[in-house]
Amino acid sequence: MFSLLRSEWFCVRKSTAVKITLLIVTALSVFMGVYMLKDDMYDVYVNSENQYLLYGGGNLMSQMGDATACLLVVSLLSGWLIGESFENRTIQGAVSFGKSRTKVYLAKVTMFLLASSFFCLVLWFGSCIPVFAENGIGTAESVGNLCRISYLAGMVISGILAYMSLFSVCAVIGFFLQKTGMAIAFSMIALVFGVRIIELLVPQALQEFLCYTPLGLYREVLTVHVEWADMIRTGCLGLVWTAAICGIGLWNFKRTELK
Amino acid sequence: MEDVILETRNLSRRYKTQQALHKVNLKLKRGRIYGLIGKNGAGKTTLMRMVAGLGFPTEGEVFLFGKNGNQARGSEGRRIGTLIENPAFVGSMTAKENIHLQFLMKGLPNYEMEKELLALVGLSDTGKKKVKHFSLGMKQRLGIAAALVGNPELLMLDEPINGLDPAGVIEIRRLVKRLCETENKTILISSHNLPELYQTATDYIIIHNGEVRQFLTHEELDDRCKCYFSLESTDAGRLVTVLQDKLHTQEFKVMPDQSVRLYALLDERERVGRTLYENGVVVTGFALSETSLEEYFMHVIGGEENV
Repeated sequence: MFSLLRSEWFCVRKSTAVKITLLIVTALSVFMGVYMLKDDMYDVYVNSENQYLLYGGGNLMSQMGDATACLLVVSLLSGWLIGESFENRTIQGAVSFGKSRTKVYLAKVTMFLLASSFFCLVLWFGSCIPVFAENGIGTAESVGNLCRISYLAGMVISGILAYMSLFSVCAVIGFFLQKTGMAIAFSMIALVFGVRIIELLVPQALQEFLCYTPLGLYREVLTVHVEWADMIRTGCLGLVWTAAICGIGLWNFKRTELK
Repeated sequence: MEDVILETRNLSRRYKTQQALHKVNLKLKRGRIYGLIGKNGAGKTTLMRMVAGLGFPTEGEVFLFGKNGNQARGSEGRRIGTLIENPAFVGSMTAKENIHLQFLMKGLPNYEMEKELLALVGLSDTGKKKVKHFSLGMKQRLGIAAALVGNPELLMLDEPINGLDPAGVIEIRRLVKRLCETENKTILISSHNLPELYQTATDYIIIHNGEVRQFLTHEELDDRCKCYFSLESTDAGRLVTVLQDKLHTQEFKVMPDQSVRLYALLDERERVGRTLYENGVVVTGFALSETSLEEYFMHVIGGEENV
């Protein structure tokens, strides 16, 4: 398993597509962060009672709420890190060498989830750095519990765990389709449009249950009044969903003929 | 030492309506080069994929180094090197990085072998050139180098000379022979190029419609390719009936000119002649002739209708 993780890490390090995406994401997020500090934005935030956006803690929370940007990046990664491994036959090579399919799958998914989380952290923190540098983390009056580093760290960790349950859908799509382009396209369609469609289709009476599913789990901790109980519950639920979704993918992968 | 490296017992694979493999029984021994011959869709790649664990048989078993099941795949799988369909490589990496990736993936610490392997397949001077810019032949060679990572005892090469220029074909042939002769490796190699395979293999497996039609050594193939009885008669139908009913053989072929090629009973010329005479067949021509490797292959897989 360790050798497979090392080879996965080697692939990520050497991937030109991953490097370019990281560069673009970093540049975009810093640009967005600087844009938020423009003088004319100040009135907009205050008048719309969103002044928490002016402070590091609140701004980070706001950035984490933008799932679309994350999911677009993660969709690309599902193609480049998983779909491409089937096309360049490195997965087939590992299996034919006697590595168990479970280990191959877990190593690939682990690296995919770590890389996806890393990209999202870059996206979120890159956007917040200018605000942090300019106005600091914020006070209890402006950003509630998020004025404390421990709460902020808890929110990020539990938020990432919640997001991972959504990212794992991309991993399963990548393993199912086994093609770079198809994995990217279907991940985008499933996560960007599919999520919206499900939210629209779910009856009003059941809407509140969506916050316990990967579709809305991350929103549970994205509030300035977040408590430890919320973070622990969200983090645990995120892990359970991730394990369940990845388990379905593993079940399918172990029965799939590798072309 | 002639221990069995790979054995398949009643190995079968069915895809919906198509029987890709049907009760394949093979025993591959150490230090031999097995040429897997068959036309497109005969089941060559499917057989290799089943052995490599990339596909699942619907029936039968694969024994690697005497073990079967998941235990064999885990512990004995690392004694196999494969190049199946396309070489496994990452296009955005150099040849050296790709070989390094194979070492990492296989959990092998001896990175010094990287240069040796690249030199072995003639890719040591590719420098920082990305693999995606390699020619087809260079990619094939890299695939063979990747298959050799970990010093496998069984090497399965599916169409390894595809895309190679004549010099490359000769290099690969020499490499395969050297690996077999000096390192006592067992090599299963499939190819459409029968003359090339003839120069490389020590044994031949002829597969058709998922079934192993013949498993013969180089010497046996030589014997069978060289000789057949060319029989001419005034009544080809009667001749065929006698061959089937009295001489109990199906190993013949009726040619368009109504002559009959008899591939069996080559050492029993007298018995054949006497039986035909006793059963009223008027033989107007009876000669020992030779056949080419291609002709023999076509005969084994069932004639020209299978081309």
